Amino acid sequence: MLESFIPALMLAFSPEVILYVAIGVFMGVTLGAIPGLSGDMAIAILLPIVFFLEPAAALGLLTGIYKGGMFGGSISAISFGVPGTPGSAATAIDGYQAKLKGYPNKALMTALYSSVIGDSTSDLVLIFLALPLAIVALTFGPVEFFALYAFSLLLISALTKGKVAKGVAMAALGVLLAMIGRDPMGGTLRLTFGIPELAGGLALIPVLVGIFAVSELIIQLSKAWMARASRIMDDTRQKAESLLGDYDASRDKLTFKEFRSTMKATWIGTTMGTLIGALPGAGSSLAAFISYGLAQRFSRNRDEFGKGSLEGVAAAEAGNSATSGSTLIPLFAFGIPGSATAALFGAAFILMGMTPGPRLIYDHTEVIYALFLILIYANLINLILSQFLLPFYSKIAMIQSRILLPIVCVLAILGTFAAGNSVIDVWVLLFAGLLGVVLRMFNFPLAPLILGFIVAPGAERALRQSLLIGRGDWMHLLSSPIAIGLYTVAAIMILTFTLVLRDKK
Amino acid sequence: MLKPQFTTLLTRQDFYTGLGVISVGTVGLLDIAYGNWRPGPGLGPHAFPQLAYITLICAGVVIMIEAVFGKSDQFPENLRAVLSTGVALLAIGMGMFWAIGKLGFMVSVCITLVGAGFLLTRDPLRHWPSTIVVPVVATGVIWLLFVKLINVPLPRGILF
Amino acid sequence: MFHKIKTSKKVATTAVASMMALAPGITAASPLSNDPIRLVIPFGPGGGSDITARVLSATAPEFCGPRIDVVSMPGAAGLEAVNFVRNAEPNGHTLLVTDYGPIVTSGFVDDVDWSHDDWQPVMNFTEWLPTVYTRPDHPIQSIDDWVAAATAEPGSITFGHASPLGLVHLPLILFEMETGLENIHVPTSGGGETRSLIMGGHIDLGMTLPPSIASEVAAGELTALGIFSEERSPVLPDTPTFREAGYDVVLPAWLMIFATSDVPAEAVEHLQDCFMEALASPTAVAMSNRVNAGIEPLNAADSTVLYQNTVANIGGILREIGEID
Repeated sequence: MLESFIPALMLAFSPEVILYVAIGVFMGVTLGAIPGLSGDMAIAILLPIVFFLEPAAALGLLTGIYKGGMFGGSISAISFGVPGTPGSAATAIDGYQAKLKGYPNKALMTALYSSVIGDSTSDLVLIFLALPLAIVALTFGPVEFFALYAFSLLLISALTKGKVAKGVAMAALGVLLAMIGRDPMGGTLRLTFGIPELAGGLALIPVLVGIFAVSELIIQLSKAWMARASRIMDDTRQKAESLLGDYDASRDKLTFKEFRSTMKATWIGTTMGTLIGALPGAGSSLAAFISYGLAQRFSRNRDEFGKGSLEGVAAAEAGNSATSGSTLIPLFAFGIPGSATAALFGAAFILMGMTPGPRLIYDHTEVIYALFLILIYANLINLILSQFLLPFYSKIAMIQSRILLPIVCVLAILGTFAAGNSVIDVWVLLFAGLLGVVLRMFNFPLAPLILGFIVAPGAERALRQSLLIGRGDWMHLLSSPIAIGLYTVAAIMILTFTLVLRDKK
Repeated sequence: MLKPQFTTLLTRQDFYTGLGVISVGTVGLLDIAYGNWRPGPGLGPHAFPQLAYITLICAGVVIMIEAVFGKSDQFPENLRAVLSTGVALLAIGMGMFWAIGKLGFMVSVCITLVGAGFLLTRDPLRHWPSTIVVPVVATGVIWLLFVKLINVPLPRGILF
Repeated sequence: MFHKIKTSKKVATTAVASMMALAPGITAASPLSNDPIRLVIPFGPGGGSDITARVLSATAPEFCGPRIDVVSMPGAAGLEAVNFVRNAEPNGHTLLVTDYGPIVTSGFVDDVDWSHDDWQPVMNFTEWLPTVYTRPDHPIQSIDDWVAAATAEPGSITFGHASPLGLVHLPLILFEMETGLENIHVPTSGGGETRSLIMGGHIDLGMTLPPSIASEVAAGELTALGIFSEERSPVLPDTPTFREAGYDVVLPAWLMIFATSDVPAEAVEHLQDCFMEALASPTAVAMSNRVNAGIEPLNAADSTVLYQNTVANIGGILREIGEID
């Protein structure tokens, strides 16, 4: 073991590899900040590069992109309310409110620190606990997954800002949007309204960017347009100036006390993100939403959530980033790619002539140890580089909206197209944007819709698989201790929180 | 205690919101009852949509009851202005995408950005650095990113 | 990094240039222009088809002339990729790389405006052999065990497969049609999920393609029961075929490059020649071995026969189970 550790050390810390990691982080942060583009997509584009590069350098580049992208999505989520990646949708809820309240820098720093903490912890878990956690992950079959998804729907109420009925309606709408297309179990078409292009269903990125980002952009654009049309420009300029006057950069610094106050949320996010990331197929956006919901439940300042709470930012961002290491666990332990990212890393391994799976670490000890080291120190590079980049990106966010908004719009359209090379995705994006505007206008909370959309396909598959395996017996859903445990925790949570809330009143 | 307030009910937004939510659910349930749904393995493809429709109806009823008791959000301000901006943006976005196939990538993106700058700025020519120079530079950066680096398979236009 | 890519590209172009100087005939007679060739795959990046296509895109430019890009278009369950190629200019620069799902099966069951005759195969990369597998501590360890268990108690064995009517589901349907056995079909989201359900003990059997389980089978972590093909798979030499076990069920899949039928014959011929030449080069062979792609190219004529057989076969199965009339 040790004899291969020294060469791995040399490999991981060779100047070339460090440079590639830094370049990767820079690209990831930048691309992740563009709505529609994510680290996954950048990795897919750069896959052929592993033909040309040394394995360690190629893995360093891909790791850097991935980690940078994880954090980069939260930059646009906080600055514009426009999540740059699916994982940062939950970050946008509180991050954007924080920016509107005049402390974007605090929110960004909280996001960066919680992201790095979550990510590093998750990497350590991957390195030291991969096998035990992978065995736990394997015990998750359809029955357990359905319990997990049912549990996560509990958190809708945390995302509704007090409008529970509207939130539930939105979650149902999200479920319906996810049902469009071919039924994954039977292959028949449903809810496609006779449009053959909808056969494949709606992709996550256009729906998410449309509902959250394009609708926000439309509303801001209409404000800019009205400001111009009603010739009250001098008025708005005054307002803009006063806003800038109000903005006191010296007050917008994250203090250590504030940082410490977010630690509980960060650790909730880190734990949930690491666990959910290890489950094949659950995904980073679900992890972010669950972390956000749980952190709200356990927070002392529950009422601050949804109004610019730094805890909310920390929980969502830690939950999102903590999937990054653990999502590779099933790949390393069994060769099973548990997420799109893991599949891309798997492909990179295959292109380098290494078969993902338990034999990987024995057959290619040096490269894998080097990868482990890179995974750890890439977080450090991410931390340092982002500290440098953030002031720049914040300045971009301060550009006048009449100039910035069209550019962000064009980027969102092109980014969504490039993510799937799909014209249909662009249509879905624009219509989702319009839907988002209507829903915002009628005061519907949007986060439950996204939660419903993310949870529905998995929940449906898990339920129907369970019933097939259990030969149609509903009791089969209670056949697993993990599932029973999840249902019990859910019931206890509902009971205690209704009682606690009643006490407060 | 809250008292039901029926007299002003028709002026409250959430009365109509609830009605809308209920009608979407009802139409969906009718579609499942009478539409062309084929059976499938394990509950069939209609089970989850059905559940969602029922949830919608229940949520809609609750929203309406809340509206009866006076808990309602305000009617949106400038709904029409925002919606027309939305539709306009939709049209511009699709127009740009269509133009990429006809005119080429650089030209259409640049025209879109300059056009948007002119639309949103009062006295655009006086602000020429921000309405002309910035869009052109942005187009260059976007072109580098999408065409050179990401290599998106866009249809080719007659110009760039 | 951009510099790095540029330099490696530069090296590649110089290499290409020197090659061309040696073989001036190829480019001089080429019916293709200098625009890049796009290999469009109807799946997401990172899968088997993507990896195989990338071997070609990395090696073929020096034989074919222009640069080759792999473009992944998973939208609309792959139909978007098919339509993109169909609507592209018929000059041989936009090609579809697919298995039979998005083209043969979709051509039957989906509402599409093309028929199977609108496509002409350019070349076939490889044959993929659907393989039934399970975990090593499962009571079923061979085809005979499976048949015995399914006969003793029909409908008791859970069988995981990816999307319905796909490459790793149709062979099961065909097998049940031939033998009259009944199993519980459990659709999954893909090979990864099937495998974790099997390894976690949630389902009994599953189907996949040999390269994805070869190393686990060799290490004894998974058992391959049998293969639906005429001959054994080179990467699973110890696994019998179903034909050897006495069940004449053969339904291999393939990964083929298609052009639309209105692409001129000389362009298709040129592409076939340079692709085959590229895949026979030592670099491509080494690369193919490294990624376990098992590339054994077939020329356009042989591929066409294979394609037409598959169309007839799949059509027969779908008619039998009542999916189409």
